[in-house]
Amino acid sequence: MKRETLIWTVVLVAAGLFLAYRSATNGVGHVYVDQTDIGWRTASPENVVAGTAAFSLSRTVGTWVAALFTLCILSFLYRDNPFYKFAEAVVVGVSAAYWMVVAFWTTLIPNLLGKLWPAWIQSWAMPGLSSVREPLWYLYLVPLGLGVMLLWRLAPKGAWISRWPLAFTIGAFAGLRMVSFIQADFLSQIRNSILPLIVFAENGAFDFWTSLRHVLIVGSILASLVYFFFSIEHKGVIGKVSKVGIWVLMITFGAAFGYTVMGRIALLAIRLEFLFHDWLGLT
Amino acid sequence: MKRTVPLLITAIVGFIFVVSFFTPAAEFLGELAAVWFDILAGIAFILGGGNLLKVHLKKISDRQAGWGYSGVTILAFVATLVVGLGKFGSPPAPKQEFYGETFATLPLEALPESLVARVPGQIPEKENGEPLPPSVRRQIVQRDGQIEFRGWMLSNQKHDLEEYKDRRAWRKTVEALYEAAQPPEPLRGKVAYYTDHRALSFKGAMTDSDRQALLALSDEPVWRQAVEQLYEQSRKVTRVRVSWLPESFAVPESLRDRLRYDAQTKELVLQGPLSADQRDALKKQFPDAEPLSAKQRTTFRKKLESLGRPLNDEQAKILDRLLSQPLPESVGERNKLLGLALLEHGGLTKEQCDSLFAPYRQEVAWRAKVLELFHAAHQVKYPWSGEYRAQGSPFWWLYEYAFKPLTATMFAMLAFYVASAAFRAFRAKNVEAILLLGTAFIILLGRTFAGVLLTDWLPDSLAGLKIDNLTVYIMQVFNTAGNRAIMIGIALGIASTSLKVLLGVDRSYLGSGGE
Amino acid sequence: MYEFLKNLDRRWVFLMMLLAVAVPILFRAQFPERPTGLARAVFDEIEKLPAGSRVLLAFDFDPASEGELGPMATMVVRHCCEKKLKMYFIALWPVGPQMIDDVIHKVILSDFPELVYGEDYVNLGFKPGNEGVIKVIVTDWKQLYTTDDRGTNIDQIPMCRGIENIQSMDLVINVSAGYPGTKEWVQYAATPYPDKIRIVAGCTGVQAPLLYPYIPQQLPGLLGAIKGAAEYEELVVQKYDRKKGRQPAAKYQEAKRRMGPQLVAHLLMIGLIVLGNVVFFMERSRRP
Repeated sequence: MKRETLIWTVVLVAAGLFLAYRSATNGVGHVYVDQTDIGWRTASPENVVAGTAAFSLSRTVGTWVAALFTLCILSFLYRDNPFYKFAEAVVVGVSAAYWMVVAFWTTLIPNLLGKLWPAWIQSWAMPGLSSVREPLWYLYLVPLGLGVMLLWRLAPKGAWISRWPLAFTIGAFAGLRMVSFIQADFLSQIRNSILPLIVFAENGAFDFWTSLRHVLIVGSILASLVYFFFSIEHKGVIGKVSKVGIWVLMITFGAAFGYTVMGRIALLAIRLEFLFHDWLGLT
Repeated sequence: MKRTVPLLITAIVGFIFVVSFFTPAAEFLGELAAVWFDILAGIAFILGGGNLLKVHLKKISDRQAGWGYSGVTILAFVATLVVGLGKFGSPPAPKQEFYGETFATLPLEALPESLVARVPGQIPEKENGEPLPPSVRRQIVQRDGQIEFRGWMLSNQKHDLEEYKDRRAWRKTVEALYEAAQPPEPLRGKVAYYTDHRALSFKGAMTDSDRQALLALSDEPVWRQAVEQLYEQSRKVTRVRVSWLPESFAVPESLRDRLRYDAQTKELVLQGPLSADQRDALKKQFPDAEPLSAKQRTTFRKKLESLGRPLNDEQAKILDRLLSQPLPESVGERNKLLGLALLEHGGLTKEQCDSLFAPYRQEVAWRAKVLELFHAAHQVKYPWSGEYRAQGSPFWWLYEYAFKPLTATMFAMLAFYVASAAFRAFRAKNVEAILLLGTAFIILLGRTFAGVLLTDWLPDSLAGLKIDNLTVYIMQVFNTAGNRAIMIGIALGIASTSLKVLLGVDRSYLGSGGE
Repeated sequence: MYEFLKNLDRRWVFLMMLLAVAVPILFRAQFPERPTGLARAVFDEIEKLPAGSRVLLAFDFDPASEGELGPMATMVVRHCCEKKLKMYFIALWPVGPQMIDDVIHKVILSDFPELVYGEDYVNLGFKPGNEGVIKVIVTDWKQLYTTDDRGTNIDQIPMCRGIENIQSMDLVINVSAGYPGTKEWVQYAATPYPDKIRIVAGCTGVQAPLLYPYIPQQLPGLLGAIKGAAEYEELVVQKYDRKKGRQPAAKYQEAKRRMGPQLVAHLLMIGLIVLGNVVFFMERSRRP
């Protein structure tokens, strides 16, 4: 066995034994539940102290599994390894199935089968549904047909049939987006950019700072737009204006970077909070 | 043909959305297309799952490198799918379980003639041609100048009918029909018919006189069979072992005839089901705690201290305060509050804790037994109606302890990569790079307390130069301007691409030639 | 030193980042928060609604972004509960309903048990279709939502009776992690119906700069990243806890807690960039 693998094995086994000892003696990583009228819920800390919360084996095992999965993924930072690959394989399988289950229970059952055969769906899946068919219920046969055609993509032959529902989807996206982007991202943005360049305060005095702000906004937008206009050469005055545009864009990207960093760190913080607080009970 | 039809579909669907935006009369077409689109989006998830299966099964069968991991993926996929679709461990939806009632299947067509109520009147028509509400549509009919209602009208059906047409005359007719379409007097409030559930229902346990009254309504075999089934099912006896009975245990009024405590076998014996209200009444066996006098408080304190260590001054004050005032809590709840407060302000020994929390533990144990009785006595009507992600179910477990930590950690890794990228790649080589990095520094400092610390000393006249204010200014002026320009550019790009797709100029989504 | 830095194994950088985030968490480092304009705008939009107003809460995020958006979702729901607003929950992401469940348990069921499901709040669940869903529910939501998330017929839910579409909502609060999210809500709901639909949002750090062009005409208020969440938390906690003389519960201080590691990690990032540039300039100066 390589020296590095041996060291890692020893470290991991020692850590594992230590954690098992802490769990058995201190209740590290234990999860308790309260019984309510609608099922078992994570116990409130008061009930854990008062001794009425029940120890939940499945949730305790789950917390340990979650912690181990977290460490498996983090192990990739050191090096690609079988633990990471295993965890990755699990997440791919679970997430695909999760989305399938969600789509089945939230869309297929209520919005498709529930419209075509409401009495049948009402009798076992959705007792709250009215078992009376809506008028024009037969229109739902179209998405049913298109859906079957879409699933044909998986068949060894005749995958071209799935082009019809794909075309429907593409057409829908194109039609929806063309209008919405023009309205919200083009016309509205132009309207929002039309700002008074000389602003007066309520008392009639010239408001320098607001005027400067508006001048900067309008000027920056125009400069950036000039930069994006590639149909004419960026020389002379156009060249200088587009240079200013690039500077504005650099500031924009710098701001985006700053916010992105902020976002990423918060994600790491919550994971470490889970490990330290929910699993190890250190905080 | 194989390519022409899809092109036509794309064009038609796209233009429907565009036209419906500008033409109010065509709005319903846009809505219809959007609903179909949403359904297809749901089916696309199923395609995704199927594709995953196909790819990984092929990998396993071809014994490609890493096929073992494909096996893990398939296993995880199948396990999640099975528990999710089967809704294992998911309790039925409480709103549709009709707790306290027993059902016997009886289709609407099998309702006897004696259950048809008639009142003179005319069902009004609505100007927009809207039909009667779905809750009553199958039970109500106009015949020979009379309105007929088949079955017994429920209050929600009456409400729907009244809402159907806002006319006083119609409301009076509905009122009359509602009164006529009710069970005979001895059965009123106990028996009901639910059309959507195709069920004859009885509340509580059916007595022999109830049964006779129901059988008298019709001789038809289907009716009689349903009544007999209801009689047997509603009189089912449930027993739950209860080792400890509350001191002030009293059977609630509504359960007088059905519930008793068997002291010999130490069991609660219940005939028929419990409704949610009856369950709650049965749980409430513990009266509110009375405030204690000074002497009683001293005795209480001495007894507590004898079990462990003396209380400190603050604990003594808390004890006096909590035990001397009337609280809308039971003794167990009050002692629990006391115990938690004393623990926070000085600690207690284990024996002291056990003594204080013991009544609360007993109360909780009693409530658990009542719940056990409630569920054991209940006839499950719709086992598959619960939430697919009910807390505690295996599907929820897979989400909470596999999906959630794995996806969250995958994204958390980005924090490390952003740090590594910043060290390796961000170089202030020219003016543009310096602008970018300078802005990044201002934002990174300004969005944390570090920025406040660094520049808070600046006087108010230079407030604009404080880093947190500078950050806001940069975001609202330069960032807005830059992103606005980008947004305008993207909008024009999307519009032109969409138009190319709709007009069939761009056909790349159809794939290459071939099939 | 120069050679060491030039050939620095990136795993040392990973370790530095891990320590920069872990140590403040272990030592519970927290810093005061000073709310700024946009967080105040979101707070004011909700605060000015009278009791009984209808609010649509669209939770379009998943566990991957819960670090940033979880605290926003928690505080927004708490604020709505304190104001006694009628809450309608929906989700455009498949895992959104789980996020809704979590917040309902964390806030409503534990701190506001007097609120009744179906009268004060309702969970309508997820529907696939991304912006297609928004497109439908702005005119007729019963086309998609025939029942709530638990299967109860929507006509039998008291607070859903008489509502045709989301134009009846007094405010839409969107917590979003990407696509579909705030951008789609602005494009398909706020912009086509500027007089009827008003939207405020909370979003991730990655998205926030991209949404500034919509402010304030199409998007009156925005909580950007964990900082926005912490500022909003401070405003709500100040009004509903501190002014009443009580300390806020730990679950209402999550964003503030996460700002501790933020500060240290940001300083680390600045340090790494500076260090990287120092190495770069040293390398340049050594070149013949």
